[in-house]
Amino acid sequence: MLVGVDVGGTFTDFVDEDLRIHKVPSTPRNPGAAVLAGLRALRGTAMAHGTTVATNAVLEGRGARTALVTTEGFEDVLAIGRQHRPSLYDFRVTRPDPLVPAERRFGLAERVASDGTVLRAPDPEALAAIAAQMRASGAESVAVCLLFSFLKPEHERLVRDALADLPVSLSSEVLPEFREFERTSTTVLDAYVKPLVDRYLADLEASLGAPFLVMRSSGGVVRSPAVRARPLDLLLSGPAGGVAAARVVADLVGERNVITFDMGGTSADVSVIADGQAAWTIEATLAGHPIASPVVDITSVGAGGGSVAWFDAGGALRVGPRSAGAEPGPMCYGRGGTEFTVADADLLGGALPTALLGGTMPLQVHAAKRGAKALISHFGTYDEAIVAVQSVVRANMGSAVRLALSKRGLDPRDFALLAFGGAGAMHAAYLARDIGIPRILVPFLPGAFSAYGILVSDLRHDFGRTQVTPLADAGPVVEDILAEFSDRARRAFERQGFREEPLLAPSVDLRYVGQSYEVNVAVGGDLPAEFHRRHEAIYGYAARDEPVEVVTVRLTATIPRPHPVPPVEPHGEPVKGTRSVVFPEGRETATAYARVALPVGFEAEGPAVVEEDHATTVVPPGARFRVDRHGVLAVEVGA
Amino acid sequence: MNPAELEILRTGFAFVPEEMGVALKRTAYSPNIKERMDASCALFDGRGRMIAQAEHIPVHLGGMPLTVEFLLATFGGELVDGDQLITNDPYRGGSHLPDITLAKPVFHDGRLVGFVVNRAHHADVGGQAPGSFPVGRVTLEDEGVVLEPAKWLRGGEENPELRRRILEGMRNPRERLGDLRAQVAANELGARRLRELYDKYGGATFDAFADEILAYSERRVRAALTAAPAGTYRAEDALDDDGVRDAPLRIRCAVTLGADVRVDFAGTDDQVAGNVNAPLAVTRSATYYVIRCLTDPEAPPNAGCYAPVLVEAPPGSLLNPRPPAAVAAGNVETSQRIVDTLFLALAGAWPDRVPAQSQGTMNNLLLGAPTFAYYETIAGGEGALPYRPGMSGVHTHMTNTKNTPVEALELAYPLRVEEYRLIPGSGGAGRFPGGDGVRRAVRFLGDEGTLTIVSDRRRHAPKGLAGGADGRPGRNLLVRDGQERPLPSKVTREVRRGDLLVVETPGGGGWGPAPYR
Repeated sequence: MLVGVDVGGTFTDFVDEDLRIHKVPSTPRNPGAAVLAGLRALRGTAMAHGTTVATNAVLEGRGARTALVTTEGFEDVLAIGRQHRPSLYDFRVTRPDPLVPAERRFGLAERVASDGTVLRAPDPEALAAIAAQMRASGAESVAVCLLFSFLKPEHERLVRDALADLPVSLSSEVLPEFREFERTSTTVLDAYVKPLVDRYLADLEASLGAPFLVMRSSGGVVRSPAVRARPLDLLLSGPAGGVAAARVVADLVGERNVITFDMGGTSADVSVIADGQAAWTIEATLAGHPIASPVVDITSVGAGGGSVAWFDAGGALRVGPRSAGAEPGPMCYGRGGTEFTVADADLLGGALPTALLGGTMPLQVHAAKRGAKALISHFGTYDEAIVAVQSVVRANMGSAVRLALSKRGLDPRDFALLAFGGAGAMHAAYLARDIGIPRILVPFLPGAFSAYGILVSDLRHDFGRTQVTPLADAGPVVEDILAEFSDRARRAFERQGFREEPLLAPSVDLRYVGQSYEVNVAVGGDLPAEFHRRHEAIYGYAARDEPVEVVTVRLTATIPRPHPVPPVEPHGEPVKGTRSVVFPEGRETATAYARVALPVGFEAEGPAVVEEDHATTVVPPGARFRVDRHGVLAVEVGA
Repeated sequence: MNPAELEILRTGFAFVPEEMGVALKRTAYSPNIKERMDASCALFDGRGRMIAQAEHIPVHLGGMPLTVEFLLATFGGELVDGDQLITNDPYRGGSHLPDITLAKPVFHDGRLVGFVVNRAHHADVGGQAPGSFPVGRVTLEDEGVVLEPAKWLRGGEENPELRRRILEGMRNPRERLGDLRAQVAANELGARRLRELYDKYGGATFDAFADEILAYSERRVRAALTAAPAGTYRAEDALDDDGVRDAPLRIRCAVTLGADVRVDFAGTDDQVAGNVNAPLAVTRSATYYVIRCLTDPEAPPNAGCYAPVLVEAPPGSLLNPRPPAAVAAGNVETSQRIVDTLFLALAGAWPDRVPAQSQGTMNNLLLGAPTFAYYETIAGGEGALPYRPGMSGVHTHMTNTKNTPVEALELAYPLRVEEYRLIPGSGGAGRFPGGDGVRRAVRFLGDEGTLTIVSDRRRHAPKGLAGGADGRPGRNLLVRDGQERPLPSKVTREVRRGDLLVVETPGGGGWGPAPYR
């Protein structure tokens, strides 16, 4: 039995092929313990795993003692970065310290020119000297990033040969693309987490007796040995499971354009699926360190159930980004929390049930009320205070959604908002109304949606290499690179035991000569025409007479995996009773529905709440909801 | 207006200039706007008060309100729907000629309800030298085309006379028109959003919000001001030279803290023949920047933040020149020295917040040849703070633009970068040391070209604070045939194939006495 496993901060979630859900408290010091416990409970024999061990190592500065080899004269590229500061006016905000300090950054006398010719080859003595310095520095892993190594990888390979006994990450393999700072940062991150990820995955392989699937930041899975060789791809994989699941659900209900909205305890993650494809980026960062390999583009806002309400120096009500976390948590948890949070407002407003985790964790209304009292003097009544906190947290999330759409030139009216996470469905309807999104979707399994996404993700390998060439005569160059990538993709899948023919999605990053940013265009049709069209769509103009050049050639190879969907088997009474719920329009009596009891095609009007074990969907007055044939809840919000 | 409504409206209206910036960045033509985001966007109410500004670049802080003031005074009653106004006039709220401002009056049911405004740095606006940065004895006319306040769009149609002046007077006019269209489009988007908000909330709420958000920012800034002891704080600092005469240029300030902040630059040297004169808009921007850093860096940027701040500079001085003084470098170099002088003065008032001096220059490097033009500003050392070391190799104070990656540079131009590293020890020692400067060495591989460097702090070092040591001044060098020759701080000259240009940027000052070793 294959099990999807997602390790979260509080719980580790499991979903098996029969779509049974299981939750085990996470064991942060040894995350593998919870993973193995859950697998045993579900009698899992194989797993698809989402893990944040690498991410946490970077956030907490617990990675390896890493050394860096650069072209001589460029040892400080990692420290200078793109030379800008993170905050214009606030001196308290600084750049993160580089992951490799100056004393472990070593320059090698070598140089390759921008056309790939060797200006200076590294001599053996210099290589030996670097190897000796490296050992003396006590390095546990090494990153190598030489200028223009994407054109001429040989020099980096010589360095690796000289350092046979250390884990080495070469930039020409990790990210053979131009822009040296971003490439260095990406390669250093790979080396920084390599020893730790290797240990973690090797231990799990040993416990399971076989390699297993692992979720990567690209939104696809591969077998664990491939991840041990390139752990970089784990760093932003946390929210990727939810996006992968969202793609499956969007496809099922026939929505091409979806905004995913995952609201949990401390933050809300937003991503865009446009025309069936999850938007990706090469401009992601982790703790301020750039990761320039393509990853699912996710915007995170400090807005969740635990976000704290406070008044600033000018007297405005603010919510977040600080969170009460799981400990002590919101006041209503009754664990000593003293600050009023979004969850407290949701409880008093009647949206959050009076007990969580299937009734096992009762909430304390009186504790939340104590918090609300402090706000009443500003707002008059409890209800107004509740609406105030909910509206302010929505305003923060609304800006994130608008920005994600705006930077791609997309219109909210063409989208549906797909809500999951503990608090997503509760806030989605009014968020959609604020932004002008006409409908929200609440998928099945909202409480373990990410684990489901990991279970059903495609097998996926991505390749890319910079080769700047005029588009007019790029044909053979691009074909050669793509042939090589396809071959490597097939071999990579075969090594993992997958013999199916992969689906190949070749593309090129193109730009007008002289520009400094690129547009990704699928290879297949009329490339120049498609480039001009997409350039115009994104940037508002096309310069059809200007010469175009290829910058980076890319290939995504996937092998689809089965997408089991839970059957809709309604049982029990649809109507559980009524709830007194606070809406921005005022307090109203809402009908409470049990989601497990709703048959396909069931329709009703708001005001309503649709309750299930790990989530509640709020349906505003005047909105309608309907259960579609896959059990997905669709709410027309009338925006 | 209750505290939640205020916050929700603030978020909603702040997003208007934010989204304009996103659109401008997306649709602009030149990398300067697109990648470096050398541009700013803002929203004004119908009375010309700045309600919200997107935070892109500090040097535009004070200029846009001044420009809108001039535009309202010039066109007051003649504005109609479909107009967009244009100007780059440094003597009417502009910063320097490459910064072109576009403003669109927004009407709702026939009533003027506000302005959406953006200002963007164009790569070239004509004049004597490519990049519109000529060094030497120059006037405003030598620096490029001066666009006095005018209607660029009338009922949605471009002004043919202005279009002709741009086409004839500026290099690469197609790029200019492309960038101008992006500016127009960003304003159209902003206007649409403002009208939507107006529809949603109604005029009465908008007017109440405008009053309240200005009062709100003012409250936040004033609350922070009360933390500093009242009194008058003075300082003096200097620019190395103006690129014409080899003599320092003194800036003097007296800052009086009380209920308000009064900043008087009396005693500052007179305007000069070079291009380092700072128009009043730049002087104000630099002052607003310092006050913002020291009081409440997160107060929503609007006119309320600056209501408590009064700036005076003697007419005819370096910081409030009379036409036709040249001003191109006032924006990039003199602005930094104004900041240095003010921080120096205010160290006594905010000893726990004021940094030691940072590199104090933008190290503008322009390399041009008939086939290409390359412009870059180079980072340096940040001054240490009373609670942390200065950052190394970073842009400070009035600029924050990114560098060009070495690989991108070499793929695009006949240039090779031979060194790009920190200069260890160039930051001043201290309990918290200043950040280190940068050494960037670029070899010219074209046939022949023109080099322009506009820099400062080559002679007068960035000062340490509270006993911290000074940072090391910068240097500019030309290595030709193996021979190293020093270059002045400000220079335009020819370069040949094989020449190596070396720019060493200043280190930041240290804070507090260095521990005894």
